[in-house]
Amino acid sequence: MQRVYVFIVTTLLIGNSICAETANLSTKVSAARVVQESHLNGSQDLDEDQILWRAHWAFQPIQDPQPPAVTCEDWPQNDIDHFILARLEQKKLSPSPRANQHTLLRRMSWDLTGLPYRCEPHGRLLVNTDVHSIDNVIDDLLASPHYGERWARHWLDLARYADTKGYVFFEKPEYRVAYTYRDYVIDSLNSDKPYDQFVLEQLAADLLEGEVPLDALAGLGFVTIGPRLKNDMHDIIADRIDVVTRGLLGLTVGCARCHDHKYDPISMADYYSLYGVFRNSVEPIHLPFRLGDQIPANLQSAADKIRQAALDLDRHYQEKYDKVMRDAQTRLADYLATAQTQRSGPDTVLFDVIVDGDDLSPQLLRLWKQYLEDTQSNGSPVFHPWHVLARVQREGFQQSASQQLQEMMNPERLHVQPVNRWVWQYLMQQSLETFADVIQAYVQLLSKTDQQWQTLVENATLAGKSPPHTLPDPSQEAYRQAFHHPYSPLGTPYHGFQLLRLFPDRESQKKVKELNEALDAIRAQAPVELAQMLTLEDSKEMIPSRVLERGNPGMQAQVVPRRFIRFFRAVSDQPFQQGSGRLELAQAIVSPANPLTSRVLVNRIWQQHFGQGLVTTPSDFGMQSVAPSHPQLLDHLATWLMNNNWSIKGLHRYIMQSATYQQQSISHELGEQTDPDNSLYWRMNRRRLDFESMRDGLLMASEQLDLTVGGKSIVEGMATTNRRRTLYVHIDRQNLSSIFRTFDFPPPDVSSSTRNNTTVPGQALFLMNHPLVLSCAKQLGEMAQTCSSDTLAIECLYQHILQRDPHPEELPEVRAYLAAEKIQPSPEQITEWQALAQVLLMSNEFQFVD
Amino acid sequence: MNHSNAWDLPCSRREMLTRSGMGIGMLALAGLNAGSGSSQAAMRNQAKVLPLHQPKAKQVVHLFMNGGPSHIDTFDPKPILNKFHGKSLPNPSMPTERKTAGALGSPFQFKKYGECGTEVSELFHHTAAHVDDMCVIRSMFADIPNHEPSLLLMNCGDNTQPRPSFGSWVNYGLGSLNENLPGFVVLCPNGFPVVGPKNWRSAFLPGAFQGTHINTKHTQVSKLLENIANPQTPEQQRHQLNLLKKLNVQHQQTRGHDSQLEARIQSFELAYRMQFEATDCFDLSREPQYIRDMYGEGLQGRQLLLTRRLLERGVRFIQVWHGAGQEWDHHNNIEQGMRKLCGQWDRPLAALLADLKQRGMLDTTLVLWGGEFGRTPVAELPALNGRDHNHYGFTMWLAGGGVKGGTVHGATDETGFAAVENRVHVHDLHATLLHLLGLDHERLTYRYAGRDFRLTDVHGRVVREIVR
Repeated sequence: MQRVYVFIVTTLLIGNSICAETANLSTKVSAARVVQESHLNGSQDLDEDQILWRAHWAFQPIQDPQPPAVTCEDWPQNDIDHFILARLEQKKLSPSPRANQHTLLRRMSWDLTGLPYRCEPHGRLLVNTDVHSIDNVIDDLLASPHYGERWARHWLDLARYADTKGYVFFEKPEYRVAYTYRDYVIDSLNSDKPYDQFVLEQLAADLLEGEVPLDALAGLGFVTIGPRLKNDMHDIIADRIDVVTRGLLGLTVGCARCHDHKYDPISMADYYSLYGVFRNSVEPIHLPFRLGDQIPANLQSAADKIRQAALDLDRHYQEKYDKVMRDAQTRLADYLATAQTQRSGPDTVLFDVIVDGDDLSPQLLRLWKQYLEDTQSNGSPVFHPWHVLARVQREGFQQSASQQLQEMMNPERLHVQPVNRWVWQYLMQQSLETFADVIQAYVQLLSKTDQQWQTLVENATLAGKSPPHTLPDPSQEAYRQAFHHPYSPLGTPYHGFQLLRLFPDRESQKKVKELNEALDAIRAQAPVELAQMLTLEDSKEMIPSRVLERGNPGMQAQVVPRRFIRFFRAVSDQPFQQGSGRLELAQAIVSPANPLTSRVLVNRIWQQHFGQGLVTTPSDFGMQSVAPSHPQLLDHLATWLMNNNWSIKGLHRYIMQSATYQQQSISHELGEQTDPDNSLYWRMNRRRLDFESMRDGLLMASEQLDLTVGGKSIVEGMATTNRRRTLYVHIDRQNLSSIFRTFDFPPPDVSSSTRNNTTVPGQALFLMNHPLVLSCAKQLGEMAQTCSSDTLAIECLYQHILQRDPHPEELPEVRAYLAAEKIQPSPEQITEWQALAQVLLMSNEFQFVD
Repeated sequence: MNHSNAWDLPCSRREMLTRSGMGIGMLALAGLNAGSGSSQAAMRNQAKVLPLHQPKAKQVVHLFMNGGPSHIDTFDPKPILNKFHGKSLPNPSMPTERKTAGALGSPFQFKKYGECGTEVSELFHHTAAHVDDMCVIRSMFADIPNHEPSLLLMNCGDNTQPRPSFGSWVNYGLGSLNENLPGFVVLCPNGFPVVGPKNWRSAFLPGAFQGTHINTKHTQVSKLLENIANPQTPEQQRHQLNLLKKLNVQHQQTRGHDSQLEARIQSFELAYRMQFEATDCFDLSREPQYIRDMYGEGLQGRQLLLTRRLLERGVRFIQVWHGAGQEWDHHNNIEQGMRKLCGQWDRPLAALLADLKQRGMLDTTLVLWGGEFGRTPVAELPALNGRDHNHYGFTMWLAGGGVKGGTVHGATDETGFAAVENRVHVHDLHATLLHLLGLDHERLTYRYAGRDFRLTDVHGRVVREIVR
């Protein structure tokens, strides 16, 4: 299937001359390939993958195709319909008639607000279904504050939204303020923020200072609200790369964490280029208040307390960092000696060890270990004597060491492996009886070198000269650099540490726990006015990003610049210049030259309107994707969006005004035979209510739904006392309510583009027996009982639940049921009216949208 | 396969996946039996999850001693520790999570049991009567000496990433044997173990495959199961659902073919029956007294008796946890601790094995016992009467389900620190268990977020030596 699509698309896009060859080559796609810079920079010598990649539909520039001509010119209501109808006519299928007004209203209301249509004032459509009034209904619905809620939930699936961090060590698992991101999304959608701006803010609002209001910082939750994966920074960064690349670009960049992507033009170097962006984007401990300076006077002291609790924790971390770094200097010999011994020992890079308070920092030790590995593999002249002497046997050390030192100065060997003279001379002067003496010599020489540097700086200052850049003797300067340049463990910046690994001992962990708990407790109590935003900022110093072989942090390879994926050089072809490069990354993503962003978004929106995307792999537009059912329509919509200022609301309107969207959903045999998947859109797809719409609908039908927009998440959200929309139910990533999963709510651990659509008995059991359903049915039953006649009571239930009167053929069944149940009063006082209400709530008609 | 209404029209692959509700696994099974029909092609697309060989086991019981039971005090005797008791050990030191000191000899006596003569500690002398049916793997190892990642590795095949649990994979691969009950039941009294429901999540697999947690602290059925009790009488509820069915059928008739609608109508019938079947299953008072005596009245006895009832009714995968938290985490007072916990388990374990055997169920039921890792042969500081975590080497045992009974597989070094001989990683264990169930761990995949996922990721080797 895949291959056929590749063939078709290449034929369309690059002509016949190479397509036959390409089609054959597509069988070889699976071979893993290294993306060579040389191949990317020149157009010569393209290898097979390069040809395939360049021909891949999603990597081609977005076109603005002419709407195709159609035979049945009466049907189209806008250009979308031309693209759809042309394909249908090819297959000798007719589109379905327009749905009736009841169906259309229910569909549009559910699509745009997730609620039955009764809540909105647009009764006028009930008497008039011409195009004009449909437009008015669409406008009303788009203007509803509940539009933002509905579409925020779709975006939150993509943003793997949850109110908790998942499993973390002794940090508290609650974010407490994740809802500021949820509310940001609702507001952004309600205000029809252009999509490019929406993306820029979610990746780099902090870097758009002055250009966006302060509360746009909440948008950075897109990056920060992911799972914290026991606070492993490599996994956290992987999560962030994944949500950004699959979520916004439809590219599975995460695959390149351990090896070059098997199918797509994404190398490990690309992954670690993006890794560098997120590695140097850090979260402040004190989070900015959403209200900024506008905090009301009566809350000032509460705000100060929150700030103070964060500062206390921050200071504790900072002090510990300072201490570790001081120790790193004063106990350099211990670090070097231990690191050297551990180089042959078992690898502990993956787990945390508990040590005593006065022990060496395990993390810094690992950095030294790594550093020694590096100096050996890259033949550092400063450390060459170290590595040679480390291999000398204990017995007769002094003599062999001296011999080895002599030999390394042999001009022929020196030519192959240079040696730093400053350290060599110093070693020659020492009496080296064991390797420990070598370590001591390195440490002493460093303090000697540091002293010289110090004197030089002081003299310059006294003489009123500008401070020196280097020591005059190049070999002395090289020695100084070996310990003090940014790659040396002695130069490890604050954010170079996994914070909790600064505290490997029980005693200091206790204090960290206390401070964390204090901060968490005070944030938990904060009123909504003191909501804080889970922001990001660039780190002060940049940690260079290195490729980690096989994704293993213990196997560091070459340094790579922070930059965009190399294959897309038309989008961005230079390393990022500003700070972490996050803003430049965001700009590359929303660049009109980017062939993916707009296509990916319009497909997602289409998918929510039709129940399936034009591309059925919405977060994967790579070589493994399923090619679009209507490639030209996809491009048409992508272009339309960019030409219309990236207006999402505009796109909804455009799609919903089409005859394609307004078709009825009733199936027929010819359609099922020709196109059972309905990938040609010969009818509308019938869709089951998602969990949120179902629960909201239950509350709405029984007139209990609280329509307040925004605010803190509701813990115990499934209790019958919670009347807020389901969107506001607190989502615990660690312990997602099983009922959510039963109804196919996606696991909030990773970005999710499509919900499963299972039908399982657990769902039926919920509707039959859950207290929420029973209480909604009870409310409705009581409403019915206040009606003056059985007929009116039945109508009351039908109107509340299904927004229509009962059909004549339904009435006898319903009446017979009521009559039979009336004579058998239930032990728990379930009236026949409650039972009937529950039947309608359980019915397929309530649970599906035609 | 039945050609019921739903099959009258060609069914798309997407519909195929959703209509059964049991997802692709069910399709895999359906595909085996399908004679002809237009849906066959759709099923073949999923052929990669078909059982590939004759399964030895149909059902799994995973007894989880959460906290990390000491292998050295139970199934892996190390007399050298008594010799070196209190002194430092001769073997290369392994980094431990906490500070540790010299050797800690086991305070328990070991003895040979059964025809095979496998040595077992006095703590499990009742269980040891079944040692000829057991395969004791003494060379297990994992990656990390912390509970949380190791629990996730043991249950979901990965230390940190959110992956589906073993039980979910098995249900996805094999489907249900009894649609009136959940296919994956998790028994854990008094709350959750560490990392909670993540241990039995379905992650990206459909929600139907997640474990259904039962708090076995309760004995009343209505408290044991969610949404299982209806306030109406069964007759009233039957009438109510009859009306529902009539209205749903009328609704469907005006809309043409739609397998989703059909599936949902069926799901209410299933749910209705499930209410009664589950109620029956969880009611232990229906067991004869002599059987209840055999398992004992303790909590673990109750859990294992319920386990047998669930097995009889076709529940595919049952995970039984010791309890909330991690009681087997014996950093200190290991002697008293082990006596207490093993005392709670020994008789019920022996009863379960005997009961399964006498009913002819052991051959097709795979019983797995163990924790997330083992414990150090050295004593933990400062108390010196307990053991630290040890992921380098530990023991798990299997019984029934096509496993070679009366065998010991692999070994730790002479002190019990690290697995050295025929080492079995957790991934290898998973691969082997799937193999016994007739599934190839490299072909049981699910496509998600742009790639094919497996329980064993890119690892795992079937330990053929222990397969009968």
